[in-house]
Amino acid sequence: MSGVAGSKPETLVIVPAYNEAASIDAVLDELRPHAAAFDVVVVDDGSSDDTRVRVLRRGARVLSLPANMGNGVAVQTGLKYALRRGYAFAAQFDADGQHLAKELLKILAISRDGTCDVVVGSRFLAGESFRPPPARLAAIRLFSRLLRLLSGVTVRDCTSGLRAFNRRAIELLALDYPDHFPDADVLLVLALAGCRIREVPVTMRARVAGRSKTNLTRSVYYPFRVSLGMLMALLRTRG
Amino acid sequence: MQARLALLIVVLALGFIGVILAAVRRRKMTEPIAVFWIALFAGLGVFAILATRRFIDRLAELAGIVYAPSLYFLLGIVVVLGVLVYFSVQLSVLLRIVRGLVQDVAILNGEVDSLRQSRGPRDALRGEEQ
Repeated sequence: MSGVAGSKPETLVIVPAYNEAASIDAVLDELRPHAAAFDVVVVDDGSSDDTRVRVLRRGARVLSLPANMGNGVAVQTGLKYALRRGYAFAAQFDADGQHLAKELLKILAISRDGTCDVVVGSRFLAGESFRPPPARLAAIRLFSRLLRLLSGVTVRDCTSGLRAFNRRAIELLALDYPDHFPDADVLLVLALAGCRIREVPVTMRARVAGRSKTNLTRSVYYPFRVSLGMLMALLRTRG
Repeated sequence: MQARLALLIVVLALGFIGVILAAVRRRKMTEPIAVFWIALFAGLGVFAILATRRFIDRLAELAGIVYAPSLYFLLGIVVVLGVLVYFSVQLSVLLRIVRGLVQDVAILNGEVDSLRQSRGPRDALRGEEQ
């Protein structure tokens, strides 16, 4: 899935996917009508189902990690690919079908206008009744406050997976990206490096198929892991 | 420390050093890790020779340990924890290297897939069928 022949798009959309065979077709269908605006690469994070085969059958580009390495490694692989291929912009788009192509185009348009380095699609600003589970909501609020405290940047939906990056941000994240739960710590790394971050309202829908990978262990580990990641990002900058 | 115990520790330390050297000779262990272990066991042997009973009692008293032999256990635990931290660092370094290699493999495989796709969809799926 790529742009018009002879004119290579300057934007790469990265779709990290782990066992998303049930939804990946719908996601690629969602993106296909906009093939002239951006290239798409699916990063298969060592799926045990036929995610990779489905992507290949549709003629889309796929980068297959030999083992399940975590969402952060998958996204960073896409960013490294974008850097090597000389893309000026990159965006992250979930493989579970929650993200809408029209919202992706919206954040890409803002990214291209040059007023910011990173655009985050926010479910909280859309004026809709986005109600994550209480534990998740508490974690989002905690990270958002930590981010504001440590960097002065306010991002309400700091765990949103719909993000767009310009070349500067791509270069930074290709060098340093958290492994497992890359959320607010990614934004902190960017903010501390002086990147301009803008949050814009977007709507999302429920996942097309499959189940969320969140479980009790992850729910307990997640806030500690991200908070530690944020603290370390700050100390590295100061050091 | 009693002479017999000191001798036992020195013999054990020499035995471990011998095992490590044999592992390095057979390329089962790398030199930097071998240096770490040899230094550790050599230090243990030297401590066994130099640490007199009065010295251990004095050290235990300074540390607030009532039963002096407990000092050995404390020192042993500290050394084991230090070793664990050292290997956690080594493991993290290796993970970072593996992560970079895995990403490179994925990107290069993607390039191969792109080349196959440019030849046609049948070629693109050839790798999956094998």
